[in-house]
Amino acid sequence: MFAPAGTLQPPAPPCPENSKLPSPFSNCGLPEAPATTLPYPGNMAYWGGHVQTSPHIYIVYWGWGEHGAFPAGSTCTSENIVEGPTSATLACDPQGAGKYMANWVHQLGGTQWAGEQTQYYQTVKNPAGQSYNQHITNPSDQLAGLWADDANSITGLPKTSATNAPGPTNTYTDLAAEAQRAVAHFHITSLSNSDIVIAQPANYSDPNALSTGYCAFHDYTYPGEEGGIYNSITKGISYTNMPYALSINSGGANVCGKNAVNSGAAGTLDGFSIVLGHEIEETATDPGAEDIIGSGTSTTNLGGWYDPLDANENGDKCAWVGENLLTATGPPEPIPGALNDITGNQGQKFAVQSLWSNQAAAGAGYCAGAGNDLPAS
Amino acid sequence: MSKRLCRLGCSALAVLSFALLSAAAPTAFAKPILMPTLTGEIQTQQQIWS
Repeated sequence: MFAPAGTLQPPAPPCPENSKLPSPFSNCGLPEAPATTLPYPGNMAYWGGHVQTSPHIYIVYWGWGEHGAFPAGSTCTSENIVEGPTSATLACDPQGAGKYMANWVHQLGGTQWAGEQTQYYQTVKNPAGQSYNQHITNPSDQLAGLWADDANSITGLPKTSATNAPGPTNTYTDLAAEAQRAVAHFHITSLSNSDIVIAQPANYSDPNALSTGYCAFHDYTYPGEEGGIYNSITKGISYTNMPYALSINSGGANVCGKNAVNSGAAGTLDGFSIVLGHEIEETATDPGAEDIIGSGTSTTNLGGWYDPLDANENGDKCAWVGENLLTATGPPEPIPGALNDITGNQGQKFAVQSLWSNQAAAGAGYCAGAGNDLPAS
Repeated sequence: MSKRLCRLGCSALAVLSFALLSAAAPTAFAKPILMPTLTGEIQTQQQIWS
């Protein structure tokens, strides 16, 4: 029997992702204006460069004990940081950020969050010339060393600029030179698996961060490229520029994660683990930092994994997901993949962002690992 | 227009542009991989969805 003309309402067209992805991706129609920051959809591709199959993360506290490193009136007492077999003594760590970052790197190994990196790989050849995929691992302790370096002065860093000519007054050259000194200090023999984190104190933090609009970055040294900024530096160092997150403020508010997840004093250091975690995971999956060397038709891609459409890496695609677009403050909105706390392998809570997983959403990809993944279908 | 502003409406153009850049223009300038500030990310997303 047919319904009278004009009353029949056809069903909505098939909507296979309905209820699997958060709005606006799940409505199968025109996008709605979101009230919160969202992931950048689309899976990442492998570009042929190396990945860090056994990540070793080194933290350099550059100049934390130098005169004037923290605001006048800060309470400075000597602090011995011990993380398993590694240790360092900081002359000043008034807000506990140095200790918090060391704890975070010491405890991220083996977590589900860091486990997201294990789906990515590099393609190499065995002695017989056959190609195979070598996956990133998730060792229980990825903190390989701590160094409080007050012998090589950091006081020149705030006077550098990212746009200066290569050399001591160029910010990249200056940071990479410290990373190179760290390679010597730690006697590193496997650069391909090493990430040198250059952590700066409050008053000697990278001067370009706020003006350029970033909280941190990672890069790869390759002499002869990038305008020559790394011409004086050893080839193949993956380093992370980690400014002092609480020093990056705009309009009276911190813009690098303070209280992004946790309220009050419990969330003061949220930004340090969110930002450092972002860079660590991007370095593990793309230590070559998307570099393309050569010219004309003879180029080599040093990049590992990133999005072919917009070049976003696994951290970029999920940065700040869940933050309120109107208030720009935490706590995050309760959507899958939002900023969240995770538990480290020794029980401490750390604020993190999620990471892009090509395997999530049945292979469509989504942000994962922060303890609020999309429900399994 | 930023690369992210293009993602909703001109992905084919983005693919073409990225392919051309990858093939013909090796990095000649500092191109670190940045983590955006929160305000920067919010501004980008507001531009995308407005």
